[in-house]
Amino acid sequence: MASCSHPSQLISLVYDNELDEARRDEATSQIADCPECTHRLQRLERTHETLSQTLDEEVARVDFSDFWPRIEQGIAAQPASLTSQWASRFRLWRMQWHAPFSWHVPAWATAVGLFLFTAAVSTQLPTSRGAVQIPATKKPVRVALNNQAQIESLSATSTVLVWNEPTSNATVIWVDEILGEELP
Amino acid sequence: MNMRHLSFSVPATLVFFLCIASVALGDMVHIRVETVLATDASQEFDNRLTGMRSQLLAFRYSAYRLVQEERRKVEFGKQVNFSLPGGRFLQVVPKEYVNEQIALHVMLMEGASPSPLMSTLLSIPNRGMLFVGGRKHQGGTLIIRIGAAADTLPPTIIKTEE
Repeated sequence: MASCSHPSQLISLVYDNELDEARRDEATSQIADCPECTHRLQRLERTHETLSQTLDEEVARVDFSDFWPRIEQGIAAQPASLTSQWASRFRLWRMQWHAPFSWHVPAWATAVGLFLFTAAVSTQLPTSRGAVQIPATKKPVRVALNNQAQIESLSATSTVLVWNEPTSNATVIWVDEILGEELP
Repeated sequence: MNMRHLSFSVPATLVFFLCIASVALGDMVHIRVETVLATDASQEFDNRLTGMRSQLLAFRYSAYRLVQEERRKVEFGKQVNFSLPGGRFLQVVPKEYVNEQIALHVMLMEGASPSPLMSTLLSIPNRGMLFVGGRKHQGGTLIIRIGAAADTLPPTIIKTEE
């Protein structure tokens, strides 16, 4: 067989109709003038025809009537694994939330958490001068054993009685509303 | 700077300044005002007053009920007001902190155009307390316990202008 100078892809391009009209006409003309190209094209057409015929025959023998029922039976017959179910749900959840997820929320949450932690620690730390901290508890911590007040000045528009409460020696300033009323 | 950097730097800066602010609030006074209604109408003693039971029992009433409790944190020299039942209010100004004593200016105000019923300048021990009582309310008498506690020792004695 005489050698052909045409590119080997030319036959495929013409056969698959992948060239525009002008180029296809030119290529068809070249193939028609070249015996080897004409032979290749004919061989390609025959191969395709044979392959199509064979596939059609094979497909015609296959029975698709119970295709989906058999798939359903196969799924039903598969043992259900709890782990795989949860894994599937997790994958679905992750896919669902992957798009809207942003680092802004965890960043802010971390910032607020750090602030609260620092504030809590700073209110509990003893000072360098040794002052004892007062815990922010609901109940007061009574540290002062003698609560007696030192009064520098006192003025009132009504009768005022002052004494020290005996238990903790706390000073009581009684602003009497009714003059002469019995002391509590 | 892109958005990712911003999303971290803004909270970080905020945290930094908030931390600084929380530390700077150190030299303050905690003022706690508890208002108790004492009556002879029953023998009931409010469980929330257990901590001052012995002190309250020194008053000769039979029933004690906590009607209000308020805590404030205030700087030396700054005024803080506490609303009391019956349209009264208590004005407290922590003046200074010397020798474990907190100097307080306490004013009890009453009336539509509030006028001072009682005004006193006194010192109580750090974490000490003071009772102010005698005003009538709902068939009973109000007993107000005022507690003060300094957070830290101030670096110098803080004095304020009168």
